[in-house]
This record gives sequence, C-alpha cells and structure tokens, in this order.
Amino acid sequence: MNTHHVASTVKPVAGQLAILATVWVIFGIAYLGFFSDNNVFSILQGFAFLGMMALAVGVTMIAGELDLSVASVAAVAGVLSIQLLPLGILPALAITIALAAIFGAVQGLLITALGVNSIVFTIGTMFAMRGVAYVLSGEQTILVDTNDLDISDAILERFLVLSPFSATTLIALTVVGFVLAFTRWGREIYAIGGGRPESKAAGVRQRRPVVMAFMLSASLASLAGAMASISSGSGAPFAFSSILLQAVTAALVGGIGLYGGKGTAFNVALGALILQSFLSGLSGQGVPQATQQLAMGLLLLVVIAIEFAASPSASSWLATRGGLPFRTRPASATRASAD
Amino acid sequence: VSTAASTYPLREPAQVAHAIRPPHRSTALIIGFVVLLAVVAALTTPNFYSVDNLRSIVGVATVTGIAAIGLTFVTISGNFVSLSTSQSALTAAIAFAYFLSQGWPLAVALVATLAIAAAIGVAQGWIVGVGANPIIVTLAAGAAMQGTMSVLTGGSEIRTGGQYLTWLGGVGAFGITVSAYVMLAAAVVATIFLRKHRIGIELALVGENRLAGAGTGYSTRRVAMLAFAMASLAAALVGIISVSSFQRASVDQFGSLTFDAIAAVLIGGTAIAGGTGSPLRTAAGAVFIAMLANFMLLHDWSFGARLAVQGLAVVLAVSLYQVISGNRTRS
Repeated sequence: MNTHHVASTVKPVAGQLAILATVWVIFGIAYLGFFSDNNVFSILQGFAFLGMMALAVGVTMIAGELDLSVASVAAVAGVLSIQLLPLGILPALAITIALAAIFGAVQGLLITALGVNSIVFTIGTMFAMRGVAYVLSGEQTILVDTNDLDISDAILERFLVLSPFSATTLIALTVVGFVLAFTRWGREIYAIGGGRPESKAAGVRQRRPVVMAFMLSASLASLAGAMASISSGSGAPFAFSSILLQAVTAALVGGIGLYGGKGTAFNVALGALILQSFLSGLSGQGVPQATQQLAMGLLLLVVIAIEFAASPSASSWLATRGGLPFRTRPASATRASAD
Repeated sequence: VSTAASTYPLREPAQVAHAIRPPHRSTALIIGFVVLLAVVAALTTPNFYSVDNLRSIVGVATVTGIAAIGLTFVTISGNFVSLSTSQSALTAAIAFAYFLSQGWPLAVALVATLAIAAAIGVAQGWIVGVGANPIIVTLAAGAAMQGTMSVLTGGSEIRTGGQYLTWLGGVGAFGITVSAYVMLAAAVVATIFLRKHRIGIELALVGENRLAGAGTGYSTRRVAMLAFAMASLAAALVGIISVSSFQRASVDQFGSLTFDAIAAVLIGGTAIAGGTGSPLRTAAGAVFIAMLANFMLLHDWSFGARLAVQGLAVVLAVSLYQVISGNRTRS
C-alpha cells in the first residue's frame, strides 16, 4: 500500500489532545490528588482495561462492522481464566485467549458466510455468551484460590506508575496498531471498512478481513477480561456489563470513525485515556455512579453529533458508499449523490 | 398497491408489492416455530397447559409483545433495533407514577407521559436520521435515561399513591388480561397501518431502499423520527401498564425488556435490512419467546442456560431468515 493510503486513514488528533489537556487542567485544579502517583496509577489501571476493550470494539468499527459481544466475551474469559489459574498464569491466559480467538473466528466466518448483519448477530451472541459465563461459573463469583493469590499480586505489582496489566495494554495497542497500519492483513481491514464495493472492485479479499477483525476483537476482549479478573482476584458472570458503552465511547472520542476505515490504535489509546481521566476525575469528586452513567451517555451523544457535523467529507463519502447495511445515509447526502 | 407504484417511479410494481407484503415463508416459519415448541412442551412438560401457566405465558408475551411491536417500526424502517427499550419503559413508568403521586388527574398524567416518550423517541430518531448509527445512539440514549432516572429518584421506588388505571392493569373477557387485548389490537392496527397507510408504506419503502426513497422525495429523517417515536411510545405503554398493575415504579425494572423485544422482532422474521416485516409476526415471536422462557423455567434450567438458549435462538433465527431471503434474491 502506498503512503497516501496510509495517510488517509490517520485522523488529526489535535482536537483529542485539546480535550485531554482540558480534562487534565480542570481535574488537576479541582482535585488536589489528581496527579499524585497513586491516582495516575489507578487511572492507568482503568485505562488498561478500557483501552484494551476499546481496541477490541475499535478494530471491528474500522472494518465497518460492530462487535457487541465483547463485554460478554470478557466476562466468560474472566471466569474461565480464574478457573484455569491453578495451571499457572501463562497457560491460563493462553487457553482463554485461544478459545476466544476460535469463537471470534467462527463468529466472523458465520457473519461473512451467511451475509448476516454483524450488529444483529452479535446482539444474539452477546446474550448467549453472557449465559455461558453464568453456566460456567455456576452462577456465582469465582474467587482466586488462596494458593494462587501471589499470581494476582504479581499482576498488581507496580513499576513506577505502570503494572503488568497496563504494560500489556500498551504493548497490545502498539502491536495491533502496527499490524493494522503496516501489514497486508491490517490494510485489508481498512480497505473493506473504507468502502466495501470499492475494495471489492480493487480485488481486496472480502472475507478474511472480517474474520480477522472479529478474531482480534474476541481475543483482545478475552485478554482484557482475564487480566482484569485475575488482578481483582475474582471473576463474576455479571461483570463488565457497562464496559460496552464505555469502549464504544472511548473509540469514538479518540477518533475511530463511525463509518469504518478511519482511525488508528493511537486514536483508541487517546480516547481511552481521555475517558478514563474523565471518569476517574468524576469518581474523585465523589460523583455517584448514576450521574457518571448519565454523563457518559450525554458525552457519547455529543461525540456522535460532533463526529457528524465536523466531518467535511460527510456528504462525499456518503455519496460514494455502497449498500452496506451498517450505515445509515442522510437524505441530504443521498440527494447530492443523485446529482 | 397500484397507487403506491405510481408514486414511486424508481421502483418496479413487483418490488413495491414485495416491500409491503411480507414473504409467506417467514410467516410459515414463525408459525412452525410456535407449533413445534407447543408440541414439544405438550410431550415433555406436564404443567405447561395448565390454565395458570398459560396465563403466565400470556402475561410475559404481552409485555414483550407490546414493546416489540413498536420496535418493529424501527427495524422495518432500516434502522436495525433500539438498545434503549427497557430504559424508555422505565422512564415512562417513573414519570407516570410520579405524576400520579403528585395528584395529577389520570388523563393529564397519561398524556404527559406519552408526550415525554414521544419526545424521547423523536429525538433519537432525529439523530439517527441525520446519519448516526442507531445502535450507538440508542446505547447512549439508554445510558442517559437510566442515569437521569437514577439521579431523579435517588434509586428509590416511586409509588402512585392511590389512583391508577385499574382497568388497564386488570383482567378482561375470558379471564385474559386487558393488556393482552391491547397487544393484539396494537399488532393488527400496526400491520394495517404499515400495509395500507401512505406513511406506513413510505416507512417500508425507505427502509428497503434509502437511495430510492430519498430519490423520490421521501425523508429518511422523518421516517426515522416516526419509527423511533413508535418504539418509544410502545415501550412507554409497557411502563404505564406495569404502573397500572403494581402501582409503583423503580429504575431497576424491565431489565430484560430490551433483549426480549429484539428477540421477538428477529424471531418474528422482520428483515434486519429493513423494508419487510410484520407486527403480527412480531407478536407471534413474542409468544414464542414467552413459551420458550416458560418451558425452560418449568424444566428448572438455570438462569445462565436460559440466557444462552435465548441468545442462540436469536442467532439461529437471524441466520435462518437470512438464508431464506438470500435464496429469494438468487432465484
């Protein structure tokens, strides 16, 4: 792929950096301990989970699809990894991620083979996997065995402000970001997300990128769910029920386009950092959970509005777009295309 | 059909007929699902056909069905589904219970609640109509509604304090709840509206083909606003019925309504790509979901197993209908 093509998928991040600076300045003034080592560490712990989940959803958004099953997959992985922990942390993680990757690949294969809309399909698997988490755990929270508590402690060990969990997320963001931006398989994901008819006409494989995207999303979600559960010492079947909203918001805030083909892992990282700083700041101010949820919902609505209003190419890409059911086209844009 | 065809010059008359008349195979399939489950239940579950149990199935099917009939408009209009159904229902329930507790006359409380629900639906439809992804918009709107209601109620229950719609929460002819008749009436009226009324046909046409719809002067924005208003109003009706039955409302209600309604629409065979669908089949889908849940309960299946089976049922139904409609296009 030529440099022009790579450049076209990179979105300007000045806006995001300005938002991040604003959030930091406001909470830095309003909340004395905001930049203390402990608070930065706790923000990064939250970022570790949110960033990885946002990357999971973000990959499918770049492909022009949406994987709504990530939170349930993370819950299954959390329960499973704790049950497997007596084998040691690496085998437990490896088995969990391998199973999730298989699940993701099968999901992607079925979506492409049947030609079924990924949103609807993953609404079904979102509930099915949540059910699996309950069945697997016998409907109760699974605690890490007391003999294995040192493993949980090891994950929580601090290196300055980083932990093995947040370091893993940074590595995952870097590796996945690199694969997406510079390898053939990654570029295919951008190509089908940027415009399916065009990519087909250009000879890009149509199935492999979708399968890849869903395999990646399930693997990343399972890694996030497993690490979060192991570090908290317990895996609950009802866990992570609010993370889907946060992950989608983080991806959108960071600049992953609503319409596919746009944004990089750096956008995801930035979005997750903004959102986690924002949420940690609110918690630090003693803002109750319900109000945080309200703020999240409103923030996402505002981001959707800005995303659409600020997009200079809103009508031009809409006009050139084919019949992907993921997107909805505004009447004004479709009229323009008729001219 | 002929008038519709002449209003839409870009479309062949046959396509219009296809858009407003659902494929019979889907109807046969949902009826087949219900009959199959009814037979399996009869053979394996002794208490399934007791009067009390049938009544409880009807009760569950009614709640799901009313919300799902509204949601069918969203799906037919090409906007997939709403993820804020349960939040719309609880918002309406809390508003209605609160208005009554303040001593407002019943009619005023009812109109005010429905007005709020309509406004919430129109707002979501407007954002979607501008071009945003409906799943993400309704996810955000749901969180905003749930958050607002939690803050307003402080998490505590709102009681109506005496007056309520006794008849709506009560039992009607043949010992069947009034709300079951409401669901049936809603399904019939909605089906006739979508097949015969100009606006209903416009909704299906825009859902089937946005480009052609917009090209012939129909507004995707107006259609989205109408569809989400219908979904929100139907969810509000569920909230109002619940308040009428129990005289109270709280934020932790209707937890499974969003998914149950989606499951009813999809198992009822309304095409997710938009354009075709039937509120009557959605009602049948709601009956199927209620029967399935009841069947699993009577067999003492765990919560997780029930959730997994229901999720799989949706995946299977969506795949099956997709294969059927795929064959239809190829042939």
